[in-house]
Amino acid sequence: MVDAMRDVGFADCEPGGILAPDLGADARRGLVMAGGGLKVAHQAGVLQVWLDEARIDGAPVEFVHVDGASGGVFNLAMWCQGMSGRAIADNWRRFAPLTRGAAPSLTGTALFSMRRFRTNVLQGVWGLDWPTIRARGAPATFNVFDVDAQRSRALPPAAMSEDLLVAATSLPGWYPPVVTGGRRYIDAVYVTDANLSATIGAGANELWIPWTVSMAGSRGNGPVSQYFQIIEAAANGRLHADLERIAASNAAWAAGGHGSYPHPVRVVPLVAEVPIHYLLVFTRRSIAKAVEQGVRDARRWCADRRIGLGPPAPPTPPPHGVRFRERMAGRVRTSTSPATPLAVVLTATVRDVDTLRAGDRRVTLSGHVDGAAFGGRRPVETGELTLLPGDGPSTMEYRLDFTDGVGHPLTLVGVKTVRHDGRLDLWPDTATLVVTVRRRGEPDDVTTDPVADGTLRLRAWSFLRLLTTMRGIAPGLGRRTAAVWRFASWFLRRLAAVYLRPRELADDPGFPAGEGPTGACVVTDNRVLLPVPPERAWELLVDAAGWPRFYDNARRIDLGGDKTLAEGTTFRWTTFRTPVRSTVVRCEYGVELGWTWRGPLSRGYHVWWLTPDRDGCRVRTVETQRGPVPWLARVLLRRVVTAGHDRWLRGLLVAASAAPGATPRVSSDPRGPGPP
Amino acid sequence: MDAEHDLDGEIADEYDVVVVGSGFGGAVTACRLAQAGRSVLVLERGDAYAPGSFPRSPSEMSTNFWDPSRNLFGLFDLWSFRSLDAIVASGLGGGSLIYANVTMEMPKEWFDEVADQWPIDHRDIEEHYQAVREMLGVRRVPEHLSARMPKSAAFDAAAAAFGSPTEPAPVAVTFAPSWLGPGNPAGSRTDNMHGVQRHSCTLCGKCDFGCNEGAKNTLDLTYLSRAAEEGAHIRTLREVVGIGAVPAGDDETYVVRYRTHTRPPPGGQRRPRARGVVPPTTTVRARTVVMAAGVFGTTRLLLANRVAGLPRLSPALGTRFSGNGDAIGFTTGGTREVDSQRGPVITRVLRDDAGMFLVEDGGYPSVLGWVGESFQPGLYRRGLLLLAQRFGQRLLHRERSDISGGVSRVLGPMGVSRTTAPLLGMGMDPGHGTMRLAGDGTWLDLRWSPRRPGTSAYFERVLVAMRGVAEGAGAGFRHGPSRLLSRGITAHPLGGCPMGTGPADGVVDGYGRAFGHPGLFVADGSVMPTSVGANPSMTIAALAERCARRIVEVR
Repeated sequence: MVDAMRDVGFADCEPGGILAPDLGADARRGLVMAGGGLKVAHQAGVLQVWLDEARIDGAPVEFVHVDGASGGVFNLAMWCQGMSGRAIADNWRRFAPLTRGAAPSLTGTALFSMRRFRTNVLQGVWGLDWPTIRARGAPATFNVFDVDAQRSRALPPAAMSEDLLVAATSLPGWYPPVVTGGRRYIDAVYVTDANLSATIGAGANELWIPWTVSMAGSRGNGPVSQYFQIIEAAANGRLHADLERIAASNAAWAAGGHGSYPHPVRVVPLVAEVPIHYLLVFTRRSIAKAVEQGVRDARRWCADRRIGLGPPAPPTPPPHGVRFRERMAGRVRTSTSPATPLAVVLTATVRDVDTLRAGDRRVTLSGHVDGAAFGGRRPVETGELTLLPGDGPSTMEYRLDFTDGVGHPLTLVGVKTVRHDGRLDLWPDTATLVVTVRRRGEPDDVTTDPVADGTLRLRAWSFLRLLTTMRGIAPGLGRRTAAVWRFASWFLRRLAAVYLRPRELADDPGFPAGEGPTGACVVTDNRVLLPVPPERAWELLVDAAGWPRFYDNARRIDLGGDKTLAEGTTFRWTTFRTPVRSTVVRCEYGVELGWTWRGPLSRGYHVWWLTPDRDGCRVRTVETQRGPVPWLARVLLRRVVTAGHDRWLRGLLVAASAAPGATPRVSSDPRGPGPP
Repeated sequence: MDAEHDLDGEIADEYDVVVVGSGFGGAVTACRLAQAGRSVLVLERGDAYAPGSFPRSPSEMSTNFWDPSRNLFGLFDLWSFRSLDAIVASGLGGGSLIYANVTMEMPKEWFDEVADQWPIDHRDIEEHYQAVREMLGVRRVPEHLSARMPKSAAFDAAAAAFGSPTEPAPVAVTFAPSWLGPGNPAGSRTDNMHGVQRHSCTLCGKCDFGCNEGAKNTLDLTYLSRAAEEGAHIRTLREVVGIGAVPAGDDETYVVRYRTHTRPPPGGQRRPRARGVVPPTTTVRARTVVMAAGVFGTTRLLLANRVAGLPRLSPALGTRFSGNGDAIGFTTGGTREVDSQRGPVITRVLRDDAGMFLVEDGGYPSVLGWVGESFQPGLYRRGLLLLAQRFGQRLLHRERSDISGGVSRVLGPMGVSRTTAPLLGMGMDPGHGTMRLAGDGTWLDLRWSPRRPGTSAYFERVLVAMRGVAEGAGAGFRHGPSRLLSRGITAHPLGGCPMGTGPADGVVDGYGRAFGHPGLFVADGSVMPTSVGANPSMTIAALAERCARRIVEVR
């Protein structure tokens, strides 16, 4: 048994110590990325050696489980993303704490805010990519403290997000707690700065611990110094308690019994006094020095333990990306409203301009979707922009996953079509985003209407603001400027290649040539679900003389002798207080009815599509307008015509429901007496 | 029933039916569907209140309100819209916990006046009244208790002077038989889900604050206890936030998302939640969902879920709101002793078929009598006089040590609380209110005005009659405070998901089934396309019986 009077500590990890049992050939290594604030830069240096250079029996070291707490979670996240040790260390070497790190917070509840650190470092030079981290599913646990439950949580990478990573390092007082997923989280350092149990529980029996928290006992008397004494006391105290438990367990196993852990555990620490502060570090050089010290310490540590060292990895190339923020707003149609405002505010991050130019056109998006239809401002969970793939005419496709205010998972897909098919269409093409919102996982087919669809626009003012947010992601001002330049030059050349070529005429499927939405000044699109079969709705539609019965905006309809509309019928009528002359050009019974029309200084095309549905039929009506008047009044007309057609559809609903025999069909009813 | 029902027990992943809310709609459907052998889950946002556990003390009452964002999980849910105030309940049993027990039918003559707005006939409702009456133990207020309730006789006399007959109110209350006094044990501990011993009515007048005797035949003691016996899972402090339809061929199943609230321990410090902190959300799947969260709850939930979860709901959602024509007034200053603090809150009903409204005698617990008296300036004048008198006596060294008479004189006759009686009116107010979501789609907005033509004429009629009753009693009449502000006040909100013949004018069909969503049913007061006129609880319950029978047939 362990002598109760003797302290168990890292000294017992020496060969022969109670914390160094002989494991034979069965060594399952676990790596514990302990916290230590910015001192974990030293740990990054250690990782460069342990992960890349160290060789045991000629092979790189494999870890069955990796745990991170407090500052260690940064290194853990990078490891979970698949970065090499050298890449992790180089990330720290490129970290400039004063200009890129935490910024003083003037409004919040804490001294500093991590906002700048998130955009500049986590999303910027470090390039943490959360979909990758979650998808790779590395064997790891992140420790974070749940304030609302008052308990520490060890989360797998699949459950992690940038919010939780920041939360795991949000030291009370210095940084505000992070609210995410409806709960508040803070740094778990007061509970654990190295979760040994989680690592042992995951099967590890040899714990590699790079320990950077000072064990010398701080001597300062100032308030900051005392604050960090508390942390040292908590971290070291908890560590020693854990070591004592391991020692007791090992002793029990040595005595032939069962310890409190499922197997004997060997602890192999690398303890270092790192000469930088936990938080108050201002220069890149001092951090880089800590990293180099870590590399040296780790190499010596390996030599002492006769662990072989492979060749040092070459430096990783510095990041070379850009990022910008854009806001697009407009109105979309939902099942409740023909036009409800929606805006997306997105930060686009290009990880590497050169791979983008070479052909990998994926750009990461983060930000939020803002619309009353979805319960206000909702964060984007995963976002990706595919920017102008290929060489010729192309698209910009935005894909955003988010959850609405009541918990429905949704996906927004937005497309900008970049193709030279109008006279001056560079700006409208690149500034118009056609969006569709669907339930996540639902196929994009015609049997279900989307949750919302419509058009968002990048306004000129927003575009100017976008330009001011353009930033390079690279160490050093020169490299950052070069990255922006390389991105901008590629983007402009790409657009030039499209728009300096001769025009190709647009073909809009479903529309007569020259009448489609492409290039039209006003496009409206309305839908309704009618409780009657398409044939019945068709009767109401082709009976133009009867429209005023349910649509007060149709007046003085003159069919010129015809009874109903048919292909080739020409009729005059007054709508939106404008006399127009319409000619039916498409007429397919029960499916499609379309007419072109001419009015004063305007012309257009109005089409109705009917689709059978399980509850009756779905009606969609689209109108496109061209000419000087629609161009001048386009902003007004978009709203007025949309609202007018919405009234038309409501009227159609009332007229269709009121008709005799129009019993609402309930699809899943058994045979028998129908509804009253 | 063998044991108390575990209101916090396990919840399976999937049920045949999930019932949202446990008021007159939810309790009835849950009970009937459980009896039909379906697996049923009832999700109630509020807490359970066994008889004896209703808050009474001032400190308890201060937290007896419902607002989870401020960590309040109490019984009363108060709403104040632009021109209407409303009071509803939040607890297991819904409105039955705080209603005044009146369980009466919608008069056929009144229904016929508005029958064109209903997709069903009066007999479709009528055929279910008997079942409700039996389950709720409805009976007239017994004559032998009249001697203990002076307000009944006073109301009768006033109504007679006004020229209208009255009848005893049909109430769902357990009274002691005539040979026993009030407050005797009734039933047994095992006949209800709480496992408590109920007592017959003690005539304490606290019906509207929850009956601590268990004399009210509330839904948790009747329908819900039967549902629990049949194996339904009834879970409290679960607030549904999301409902999403999952198409399955021509049919649908549903994903219901709910939050689990944790009530702070009694006496624990109450503070608002930190910004952005919400309780965890859990999902449960169901083949059929019954919405019975009350007019505000159901309408708000459906409005909030219409965009992404239930896109086929009719555009009529939110329309046809009415407050059932609720009006309140007071008789004041009469000579006759009324003593409204004794007896169930409502004992007599005056019915006017020409104007299509009811006037009922109100009551209030004696504590409100004290509150009312404390507003009388004479009390303070006399108190000051007594103090001055004592001071003068002390100056002259003529103190009298016995002041009982003086204190009694200060209290005076306390006539205000003896002669003041609330009068409650309700009737066929044309429902024209519209509810929608405002702000970021997060709060409910109601457009309703007491000045709309039909409504203002209706209120004119009711208030004339109430004034007539008051003056018939030789007393004065005072409007409720809302009248001065040109606002309405209601405890009987109706409409919002009206039934209709098709999706153009209704959200649900004559059975409560939503147009466009074959597995979604609405079974609470929100399906009423018009006012009910009478106290609506029995009509809601009857329609819920009808809805439940339909679900058994088609789902």
